[in-house]
Amino acid sequence: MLVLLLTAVLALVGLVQGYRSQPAGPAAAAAPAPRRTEIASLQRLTQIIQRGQTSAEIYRILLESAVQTVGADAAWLDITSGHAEADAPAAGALYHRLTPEQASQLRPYLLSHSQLNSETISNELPDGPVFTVSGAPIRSMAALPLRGIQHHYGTLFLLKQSSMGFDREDLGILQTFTSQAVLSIENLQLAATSLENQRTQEELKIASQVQESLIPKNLPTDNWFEISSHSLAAKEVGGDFYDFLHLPGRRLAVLIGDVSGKGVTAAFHMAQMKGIFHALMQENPLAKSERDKFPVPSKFMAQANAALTHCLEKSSFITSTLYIIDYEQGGFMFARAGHCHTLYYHAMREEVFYFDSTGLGLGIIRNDGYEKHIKNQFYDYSPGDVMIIYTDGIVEARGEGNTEYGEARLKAQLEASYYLEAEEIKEHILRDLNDFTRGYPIHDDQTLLVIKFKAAQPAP
Amino acid sequence: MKVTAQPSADVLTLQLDGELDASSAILLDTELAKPDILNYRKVLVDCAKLTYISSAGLGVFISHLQRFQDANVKLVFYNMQEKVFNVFEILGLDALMTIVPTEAEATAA
Repeated sequence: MLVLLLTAVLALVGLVQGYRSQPAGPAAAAAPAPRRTEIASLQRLTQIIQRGQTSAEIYRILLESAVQTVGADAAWLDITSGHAEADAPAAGALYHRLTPEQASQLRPYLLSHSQLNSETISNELPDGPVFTVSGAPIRSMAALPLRGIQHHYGTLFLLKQSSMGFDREDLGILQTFTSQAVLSIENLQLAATSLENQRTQEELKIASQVQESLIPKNLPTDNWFEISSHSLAAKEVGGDFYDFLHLPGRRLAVLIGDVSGKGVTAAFHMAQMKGIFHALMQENPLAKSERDKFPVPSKFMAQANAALTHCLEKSSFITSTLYIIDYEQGGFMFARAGHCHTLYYHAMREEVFYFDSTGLGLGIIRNDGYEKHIKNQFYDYSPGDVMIIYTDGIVEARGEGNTEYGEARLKAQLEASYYLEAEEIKEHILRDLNDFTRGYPIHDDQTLLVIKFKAAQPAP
Repeated sequence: MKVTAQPSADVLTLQLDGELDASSAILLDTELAKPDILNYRKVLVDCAKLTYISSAGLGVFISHLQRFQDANVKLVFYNMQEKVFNVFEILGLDALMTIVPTEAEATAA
């Protein structure tokens, strides 16, 4: 931002110096010694930029400087809405010694005699009430468009009572003014756009920092399972999260989820889910039985849904699955709230399948009715079983012909790698996913957790 | 993505054509947010040409669900491709929304 302004200022200084030292345009060529007032006016225009002011002010200074320099009796500046800057008049005009009514009477005539895209002088205006301003007849007119590279910013009209009021020299000076003003306005807009982009970039940076800080740095370790994780954040989407929590009695809670939406908002809701997870997974000292000390997954989802009701935007929702794995019982319990189906390898049956369970995403029903839509599922595991937990960024990843990676291909990868260690299974799946998506952009976050249950080991 | 609205006496049929993602979701939201849509008895959504729906697309339907229910306007989806139906099903929306195979069933629903 600072660099940009500095560049603009240097460019302007260069322009002023250029105007002083060498001929620039027809006016300078015709005038061997530049006039003091012109330089003073030009310097004023330049100073506006240095003070970082608004385009409305640039227009005002342009009109004043032009009137002063050529000694116009009346003038006005039509501003078109060729730009999108909040502080500028959307479409308006500035008047100098004439009323808007007078200007609107003159405008059709002058426009018909000038070309919108080039400077025009008319030194022999006809007689008539239209050409009378403040009781005196107007004889000469100069019209100058404010042209940028892509936009037309308006037209400057200058009027004189004398005939032959404007010469080529005047036109040259005025051209320098208008191009200076356009340059200033475009620089302001450039600065505004750059600031906006910078803000967006900054926001995305914060979002990815938040996301990064929410992903657990250390995976839980124990002798009864292996766990391996992968997470890849898409450039702008963001919204995947996962977390672990050791519970008493050799139990482990595993949470995975995906917040719809992107950027800072998604990161914020991820942080909320993490907070909800840690808050709800606290031992309840008032619980009557051991079983009630921690919420079962379906209860957790119902409570999370209630907590999210008031802070999630209407069109946002969160999908999530919570697993509570109980090593002593050799089983796990889970509730799926609209999240991707869990992929599982059953070692004794030598079979790979998806758990078929129903369950509604969070934030969709925002009343007590949610509890009817979420269920617990129980499963006993055996050593050698493998559980694949992931987000839709994996199965919806796009490859050749815009096809999706899909559940079937993911299942085939586990069928080919279930006997490996958790880390190697993960690598196997990611290699295949990379082969599939090679050369195609990643649109959504990708998260993959592989849990492999191991044979019982004596506790140390 | 193209959204075509076909009004009849008391039923509005919306035909979705293409991929419903974050950018096209705005188009659909504009259509569903119109106040006079609540004057219909039923809004039928023809998904025959809907090839993909993202979470932003689902979000549009979700955000209007309660409003439609409160106004007693029935929202019925039909002709849904299997891939798109899976997305509704995984999220659990098939239990909240009426999704039927054919236009005849949608009209009768």
